[in-house]
Amino acid sequence: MGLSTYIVIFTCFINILLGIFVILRNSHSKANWSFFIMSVAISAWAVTDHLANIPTRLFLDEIYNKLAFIFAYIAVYAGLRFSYYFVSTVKKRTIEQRITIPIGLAIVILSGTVYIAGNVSYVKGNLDFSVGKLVILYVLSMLFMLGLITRNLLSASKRGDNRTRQQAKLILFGFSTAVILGLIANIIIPTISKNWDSTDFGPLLTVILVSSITYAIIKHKLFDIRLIVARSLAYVFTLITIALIYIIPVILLTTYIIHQSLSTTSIVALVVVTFIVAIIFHPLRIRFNKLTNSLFFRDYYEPQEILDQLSTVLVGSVEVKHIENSSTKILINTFRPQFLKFLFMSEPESNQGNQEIIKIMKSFKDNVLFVDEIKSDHNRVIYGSSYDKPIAVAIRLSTSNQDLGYLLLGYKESGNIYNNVDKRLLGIAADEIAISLQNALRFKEIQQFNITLQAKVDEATKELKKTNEKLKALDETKDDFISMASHQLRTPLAIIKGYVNMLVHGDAGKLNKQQKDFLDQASISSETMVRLVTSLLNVSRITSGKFSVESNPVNLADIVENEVLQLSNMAKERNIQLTYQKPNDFPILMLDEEKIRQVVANFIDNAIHYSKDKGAKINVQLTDNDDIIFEVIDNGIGVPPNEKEHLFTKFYRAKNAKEARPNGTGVGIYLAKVVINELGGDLVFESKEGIGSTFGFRFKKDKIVQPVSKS
Amino acid sequence: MDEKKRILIVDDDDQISKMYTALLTIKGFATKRVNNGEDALAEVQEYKPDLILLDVMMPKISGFDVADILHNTIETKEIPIIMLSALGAKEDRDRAAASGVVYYYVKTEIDTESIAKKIDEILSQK
Repeated sequence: MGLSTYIVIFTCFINILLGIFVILRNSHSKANWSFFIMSVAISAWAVTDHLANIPTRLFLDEIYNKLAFIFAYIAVYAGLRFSYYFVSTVKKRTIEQRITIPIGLAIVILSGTVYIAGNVSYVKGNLDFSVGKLVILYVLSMLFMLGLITRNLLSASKRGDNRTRQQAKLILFGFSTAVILGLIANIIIPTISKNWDSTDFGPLLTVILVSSITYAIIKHKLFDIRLIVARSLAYVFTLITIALIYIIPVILLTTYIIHQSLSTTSIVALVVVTFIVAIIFHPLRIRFNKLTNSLFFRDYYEPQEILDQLSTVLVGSVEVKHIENSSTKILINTFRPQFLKFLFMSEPESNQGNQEIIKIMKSFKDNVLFVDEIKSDHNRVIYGSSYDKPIAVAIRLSTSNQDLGYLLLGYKESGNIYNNVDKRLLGIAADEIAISLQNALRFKEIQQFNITLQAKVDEATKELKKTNEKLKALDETKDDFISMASHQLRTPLAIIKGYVNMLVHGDAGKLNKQQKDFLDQASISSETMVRLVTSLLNVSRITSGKFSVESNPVNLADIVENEVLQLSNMAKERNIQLTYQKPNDFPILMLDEEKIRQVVANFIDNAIHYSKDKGAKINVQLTDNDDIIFEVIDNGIGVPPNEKEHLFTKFYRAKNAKEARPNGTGVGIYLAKVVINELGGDLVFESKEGIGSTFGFRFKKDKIVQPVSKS
Repeated sequence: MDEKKRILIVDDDDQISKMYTALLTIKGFATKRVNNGEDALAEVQEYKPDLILLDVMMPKISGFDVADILHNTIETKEIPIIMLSALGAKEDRDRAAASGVVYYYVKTEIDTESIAKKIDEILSQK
């Protein structure tokens, strides 16, 4: 076989191998699959092209020829798709891709026909290839695709990060070189000179392409398979070398010494068998290693494996018990000691009876002590507490800042001694276990701290709750008291009112002026008391949630007039002039008569009591947009600015108010606010300390029932 | 002059019923007072009042129950009832209305003159 055959085999092998690596690396990437198809197609093309040039049966050659055309096209097409993935992801150029698919398919099919691939015939004992008429189409579309690939690679070599640019440049180089040379060698030269010998060099050119991509892989992490390639190359070279070492002497031997020539088939068989043997050597060796290990070494173990197991277990442990149990299990399995005991600093009781060994350990520098190595006493046997078994190994478990304890091992059941490998393993294990224990202890500390904290918080919360309940109960008691008191007070009040009324009306006889005067005073006071009790009752109802307002047609103008009249006596007493201009035709409103009456009375009452001897003006009117306003404007003591926001709260009394009227309850305007809000209105309130205040309410026109009242 | 109209005053609070007795006597009515619902029902049969002043809150039988029974008995259906209450809640008013009571006043709000006037009104209509 000629050099070209070897080139072909070699190229195929490398190409396909690289393709497989890439697929193994990431079988989900479309770019990877494109590369794989490309490399396989290139190899297939190399093979078929080569086979086409070997004169065998004519029709076979023709088939090979056609296949070569097909595979070449497929290779270029795959390369094109690969280059698309290399371009910046923003512009996928999908339209282009969509066009090239059907065209590509068509030409692939055509490639297999005589129109492109042409005929094969014998001329003067040599193979002669003629090309079909449509070969121009083939060449042009190939060129077009190659142009696209070039464009894509150029674009990638300009954009993207440094690495992508480098890779693109490399691939571009290899690609363009290979392609151009390939075209020249395979198509242009033969077409012009009708000499097909140049096609022999075809495969070589693929090597250029493949090498450049490989170089890009190795140097610039394309597909990131450097490691796999390195290892696999080493493996392949080993196999090849072994095969050659075997085959060459065999061939030489048979040819020159035994004088038998080997047929091609037998050589091929030889190569294949050699490769198989070389490949299975390593796995077989491992199997036998394991087998003999289990036969000869009863306590053979793989240190790395043990350490891995230990690490896995320790990583997941935060509890001392768990660490102890799992490491005990692993160590017992590994060494099969007669006994194994952990001693923890945090559990001093466990140290009893082990004082001797601990004392020795304390003065020992390393963390693993083989008792047999202590040179002080010959045949020294140290016993641990409550064991009738001697201690063989003592291990200190400590980290750089803490001594966590000790681990004691007895002699191996198998009777074998502990060796250096054991010592090394135990040393590493000791460190790992120590760190793990430290973590576990710290974790426990934190947990404990958490628990204590939680307990303290719970206690504080409980205390708070208790206090809260007490306050609530107190509040309820107060409200209950108010409710009961005001209720009980109503009846006697009604009676007083009744009798005084009867007297005033002369039902018990005519009265002189003084008697009438006295009774008037009593009447006023009893009215005040009734009002007060009603207010208190309402307050307690609000608190207990039993407060409600009704909605009935109410004549506000009349109500105000009534209350002004009712309070006129009191006003006169205090030299306050009440001015009220009752509006004509004021509309009827949907309000709660009793409650709104109380509000009105309260505001007027306040104006009377908190004014100096000036006047107070009472307004009832409709605004421009038909809102209803009721206001009492006084020239009284006013409300200090810092007390304004608390003014309308239950039982609140401003300082200057307390001075002016020590007997106030602080309930009136609180109730007024609640009533007004419940009825859906707004409070009207303005005040300047020392100058005067305006109290009132405002309702929207939807409270109006009829536009005009019947006067 | 007609015979004096008879008014039955039902209230568990003696002070209240004493006061109303005084008032109504002065105004020229004949009165009788009882302090619980059972006696009230008995007295209605016996005394045959022209009007009943009925308190709401009473032990054992409440004013509402009395009103109900009176309303559902043919002989007593027509007797006008004025209910007096220490409360004034709407539900109570409605409940009274359901028992045929047209007049419902809160004790502390209505004054004696108005009650007397009202009673006159009602009885003159009969």
